Amino acid sequence: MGQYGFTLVSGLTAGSTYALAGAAFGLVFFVTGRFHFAFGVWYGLAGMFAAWAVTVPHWSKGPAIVVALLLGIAGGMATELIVYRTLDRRAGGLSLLGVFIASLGLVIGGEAIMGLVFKQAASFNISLVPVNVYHWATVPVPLISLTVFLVCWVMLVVLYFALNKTSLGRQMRAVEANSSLAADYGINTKRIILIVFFIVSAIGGVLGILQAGAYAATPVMGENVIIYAIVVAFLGRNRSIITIGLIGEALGLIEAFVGFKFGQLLQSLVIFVVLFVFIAGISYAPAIQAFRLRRSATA
Amino acid sequence: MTTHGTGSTVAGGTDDHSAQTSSVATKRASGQLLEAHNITAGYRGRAAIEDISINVGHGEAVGIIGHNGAGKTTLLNTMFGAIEPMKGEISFQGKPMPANRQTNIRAGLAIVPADRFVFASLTVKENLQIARRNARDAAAADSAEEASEKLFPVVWERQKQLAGSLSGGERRMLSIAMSLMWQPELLLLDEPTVGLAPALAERVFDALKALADDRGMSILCVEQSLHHLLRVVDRVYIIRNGRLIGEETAASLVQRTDYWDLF
Repeated sequence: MGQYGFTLVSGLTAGSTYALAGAAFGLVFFVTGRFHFAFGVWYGLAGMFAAWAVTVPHWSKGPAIVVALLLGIAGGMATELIVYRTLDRRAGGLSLLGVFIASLGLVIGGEAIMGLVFKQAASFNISLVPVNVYHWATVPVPLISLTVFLVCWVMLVVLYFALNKTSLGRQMRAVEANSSLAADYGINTKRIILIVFFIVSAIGGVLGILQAGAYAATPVMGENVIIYAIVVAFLGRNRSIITIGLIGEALGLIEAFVGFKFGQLLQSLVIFVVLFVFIAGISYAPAIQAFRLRRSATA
Repeated sequence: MTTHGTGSTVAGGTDDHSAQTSSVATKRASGQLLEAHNITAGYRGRAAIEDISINVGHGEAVGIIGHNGAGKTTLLNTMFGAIEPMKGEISFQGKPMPANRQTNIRAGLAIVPADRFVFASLTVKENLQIARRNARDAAAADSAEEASEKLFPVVWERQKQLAGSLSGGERRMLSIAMSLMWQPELLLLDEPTVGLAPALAERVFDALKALADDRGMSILCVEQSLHHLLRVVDRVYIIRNGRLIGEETAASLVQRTDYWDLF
């Protein structure tokens, strides 16, 4: 029971971070149309900087977290303003591909630079909360896990209300539905896109810092999160933020229990299996529907 | 050049620009609201319309007709500021008009595009709220909402529904209702009856007629169905292959037996 419980807590904790990362990636992809791989770089930079600043130059936690967050936000917004918009203007019909390649390049380049600055094998940690462990029945619940879970879900709920109940959220959804029409109704689409990058980069920064607190910060930490973010975003397409949250949790639990039962190699594989099953489901849905119709017609 | 009826001038199938300068007897209120001179515009450096001059007076309803691909939508989008003209000048209420949709909305312009004219994944209420942002103040928005509710009651009855679940006619009414939320001086419409059943098209044009006649709203409308268009407009510009080939009054067009030379 104890091990199952611990796996459950691990799955829920990781799942909440996948959920928030997926919601952020989905927001930026579906509203702006940008395949924002570089989300992982700014997530990594925020986490890495916060942990490094506390560990090496011995900053106190508050300023380290604030500066790390600001760096992540500034990086994300600069990516949109300097890289993506320039490509939009110059690449014409190829801008989607251009953004994808540039974003991928930013991840590779960003990680290499972080490796040079912070040393390639660097691994820092920031102590966000005391090392307390609570017990729920016989299940040990570390305070850091509880903190990560709560912070992620609070942010998901805030994002849900911001998108559905505020004028800014409506404008974002309008740009997502039809950006040209949104401009026809007076929405400044460029401003909205920049605000989306601000929000998404802030979420990335918070996630990076949480990752540095719960596990460790490394120069390549952004690679993993972006994969999970993409999977959750696509599984949760056209669904509410809360549903996306639940999808992230389900993914975290599946991953944790597969790891517990079958080892780490299969744990890494499960994410792709889930994605392929989903894609296959979409691809074969019309054929399955047609088969059912034919069968009901002949019955 | 061929001439049909009183006060109408059409260049018969040529690119004769002298047709543009013809005088047309129209019902015009004082002064011009929108004036465009020698406009050339298009996409990615390629002109879709060339050297077009049009105007719309205060309280006037004007139509634009032409064959598919003639450049009607490009002209309308240029008048709205969605496309920057390569050449020529546009003024609205006597002031130069920038190619900036937000500025032009604030100045009193509104457009209802030809297709995908509502946010399908948002509710009717949310669509209206998005449009409401453009009103000068809350009082103006409330008054516009009240007037719009009288004109399109069906839209207000379905506020909680997703806009994408409305019928084609209801969606079109919603899009016009949205454009009225900031009480524009000039309403630009791009083929408001396209894809609609005749009865629904009739209802949309009933609403436009009410806007033009009862409220004196200026209208510039691109429409293929002359039957509907002539119920509302005072005069019509005719476009062919990106050029203005003529202008006729609604009165003279009504008397025609056919319209083949116009398209």
